[in-house]
Amino acid sequence: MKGEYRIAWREFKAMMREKSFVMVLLFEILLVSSSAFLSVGYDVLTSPETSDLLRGARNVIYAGIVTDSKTEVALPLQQSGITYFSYDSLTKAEEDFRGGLLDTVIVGNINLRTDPTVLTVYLPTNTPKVGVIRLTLKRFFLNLEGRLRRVKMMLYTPELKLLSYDEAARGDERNFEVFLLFTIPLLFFMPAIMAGSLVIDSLTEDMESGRILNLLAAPIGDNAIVKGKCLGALYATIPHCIIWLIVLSFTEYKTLNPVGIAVAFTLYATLFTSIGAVMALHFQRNRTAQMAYTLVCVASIALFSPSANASEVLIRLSPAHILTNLALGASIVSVWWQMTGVMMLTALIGLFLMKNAGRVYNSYPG
Amino acid sequence: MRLKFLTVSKYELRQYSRNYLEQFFILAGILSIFWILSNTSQGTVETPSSYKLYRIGYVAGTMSGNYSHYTISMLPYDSKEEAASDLSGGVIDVFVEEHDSVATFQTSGSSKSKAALKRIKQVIITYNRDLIYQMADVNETLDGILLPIKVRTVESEIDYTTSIKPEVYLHRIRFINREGDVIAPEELNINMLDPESIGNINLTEYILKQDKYIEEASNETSVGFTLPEEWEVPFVFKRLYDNMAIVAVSILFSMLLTLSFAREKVNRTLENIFQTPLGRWEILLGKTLPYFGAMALVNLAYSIMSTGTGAIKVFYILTVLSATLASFALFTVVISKNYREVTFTSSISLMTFLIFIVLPNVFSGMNVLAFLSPLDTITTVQNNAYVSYSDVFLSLLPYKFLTLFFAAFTLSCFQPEVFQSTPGLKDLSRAFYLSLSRRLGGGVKYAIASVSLLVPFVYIVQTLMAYVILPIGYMAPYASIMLLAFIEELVKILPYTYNRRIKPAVYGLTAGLSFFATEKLFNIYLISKVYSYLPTPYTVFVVKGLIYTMVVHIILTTFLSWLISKNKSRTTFLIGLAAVTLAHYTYNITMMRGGLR
Repeated sequence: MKGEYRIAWREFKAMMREKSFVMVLLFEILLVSSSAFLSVGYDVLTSPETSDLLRGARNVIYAGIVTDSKTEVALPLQQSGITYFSYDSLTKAEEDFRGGLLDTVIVGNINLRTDPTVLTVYLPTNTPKVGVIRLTLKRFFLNLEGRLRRVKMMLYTPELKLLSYDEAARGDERNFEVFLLFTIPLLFFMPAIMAGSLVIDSLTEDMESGRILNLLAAPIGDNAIVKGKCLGALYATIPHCIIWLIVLSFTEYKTLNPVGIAVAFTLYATLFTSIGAVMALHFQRNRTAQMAYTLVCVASIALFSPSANASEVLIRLSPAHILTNLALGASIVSVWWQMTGVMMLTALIGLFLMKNAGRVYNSYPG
Repeated sequence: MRLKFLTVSKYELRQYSRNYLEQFFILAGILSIFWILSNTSQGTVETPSSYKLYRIGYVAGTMSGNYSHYTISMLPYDSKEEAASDLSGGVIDVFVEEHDSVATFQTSGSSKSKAALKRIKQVIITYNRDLIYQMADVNETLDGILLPIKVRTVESEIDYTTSIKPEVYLHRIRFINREGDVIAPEELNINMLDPESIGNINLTEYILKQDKYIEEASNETSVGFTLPEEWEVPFVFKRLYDNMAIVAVSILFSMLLTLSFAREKVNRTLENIFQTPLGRWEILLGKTLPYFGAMALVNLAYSIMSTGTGAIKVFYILTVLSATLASFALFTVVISKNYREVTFTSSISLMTFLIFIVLPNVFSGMNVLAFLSPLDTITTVQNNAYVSYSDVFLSLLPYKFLTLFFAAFTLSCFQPEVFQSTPGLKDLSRAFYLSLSRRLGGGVKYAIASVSLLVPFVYIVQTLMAYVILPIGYMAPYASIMLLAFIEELVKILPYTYNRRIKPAVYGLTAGLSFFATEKLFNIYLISKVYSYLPTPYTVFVVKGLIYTMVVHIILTTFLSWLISKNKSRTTFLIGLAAVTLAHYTYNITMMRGGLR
């Protein structure tokens, strides 16, 4: 067996012994189990009015209403999840509002004239609920506005038409987006990032402790040492991709192009492994190399975020975009230029790595 | 007296003072954390994973061709048949037809198709909104018809310190019965659903009064008229993101402490420090101080800048969290054999920690589950809402106990012979309990301390089950109760397996009592805030049958310790543990079904 494969196999066995493999799986399980909650926050961030947050909630926002148009506002209030109390006097409503018993007070009558209805809303500024109150009220206002507009248009401008949609076709598939947009891209990208971290730990530990001397004394080249460490990290992370592909195949959200995902994952893992190895060889100290690598990771994770929306090229380069599309059945050919880019970058870093593999000698304290 | 540990702190700081690269990385790390979290603003932003995700077919020449959205691609078709064929073949996700301004959608029935439908409906809302604005701009007389609602906002600061005490808040929530029907409370000055009240309102008087009211009120601001579409909604989790940034800085420093300490372990340079006349705690304190000091400084600056009168409370909460992180950093190095283990133990545990303190905030302002998170307490203080000092103190008890456990474990195992030989977790636990036994005499004190220190882990599992694994809890309530019973029994018996000198009856009594008391102490805060609103099974554990619960804890622990004192084989231990778990589970199920009351 060639030297690098022997080193890789020993690395893999050591990782299995140390339970690193199981710990990475644990990390991924945490990611999957919490992704539904994380998506709630994201949903509110991206489109608060249409988010599912509070959609089914009741008894969260307490409103006092002072109006003659009780019937008109009742349904929109209920549909917005607002618990409301009708007051016959603003003074009394104000008293309860100031006493902290009401979150908001809505005052005003609905009119069907051609002039707009003015609703006055009393709001507190200093409660943790302020965002939620405003969010819920916005839904109420939009709901009420839509209803009122329809009636007024029928009365005054029947010739005007807005586009409406047939409610017969209903779609409410929240889990689909949670899994496809969050969980799957992260699930098949995080282990690739971890591969780089594993190489840094392995190389710097040997360099710092002086144990690299044992390897240097062996009849293998310095390139083989670095390659072996990198391969070891890949051996430990690629099975994760395969395990998750198998697990997902038993669920409703199975990936439609598992081979494409496996190919993309392997390319990403190889890229990050090479980056990790370069960092380790360059800095030779675990702490410094890990700090630098963390910044690289933050930059690549930024491609998962709306920061990538700066240009279409960045969006299409985003691993999140690529992995989601592959999971939905897109062919690997459809992302050929992105994959070629990753391959070329990996090859360049690999060449640099091989040229600088001799730095493992420099690390030897003697 | 000279503070000898400062020598170690100075040595620690010197590592960074000469390394400009590391200084740069630390600074870049802190800045990027703040940039990512603090600059997050709300808006119609989407992630790249959703870019042109859905393909919508339409007949060429219809209005649908004008739809545009980040997540959809509109594909024109010459005929309906052609589109229907592509829809069934999965080429497109939805096909839209238009007749007389009514759009009809055809879906393939797949999950993606349904999700696409949800998106296209959002697109139509936006499309209509643009159309309305255009029409209203062209013809001003249509303004009140097309934009029939205008909102006037009057904002004021409520003095919650005198008005909304927790008991009022809780009382109000209790007005709502389980079915969600509104029950009119006596405390409210309302005339709810009273037909007599309708029609008695003179709106002209109202409006006049409002205007006068706004003019007179000094602490109120009236924002002019706003259209519902333009009604501003602040990012609900803005404060949380800021607070997360501060905790992330503490996490960064704790990781640096871990890496620095791990380096000493890998390079075996700690052996030199052990040779010095410094005590073990002095070495640990000296190493930790620069990092903890940096965390405290950042926390202090943030507390003062972000909070007014409640700055002390915010600083206290953040510092307790920092102490937990620092103690955990030391613990990680003690239990890890090499860099790889350090990296993974830290990553997984820190992610759990973040999830643990961040996720409850999803419910902030909506659900009492949010009270579980110290970050939510900070948000509440920052909003000048009412939070008492006792609430702040009690809500942090689990974190304080966790810190105590990590610190005690680290100090016990931080000995040259144990630390450098890198034993497994089992041997480290033995070293910890033997050390505790030596210090506390191995009797009642040992039983109390060793069991109490483990209770935070039970609390973590309980809390995680309460919200992170809630769906699983609902799907498999019996399995989750079994898991809880197992963990509780394990925590109570574990210290005994390392020190069997104490009599089983004495151990059972003290360990059972100690576990019961500590668990309830942690839950005092949550009982009032959280558990009383949660459905079974969580409620019954806390608020009902406390005496029975205490007795069950004592009896089961006594039985198991007696059993393993008689027979030391592993099989006996496992069988005994299974038996007491089953008994504990049966008791919990009985309580859930209303038994023993």
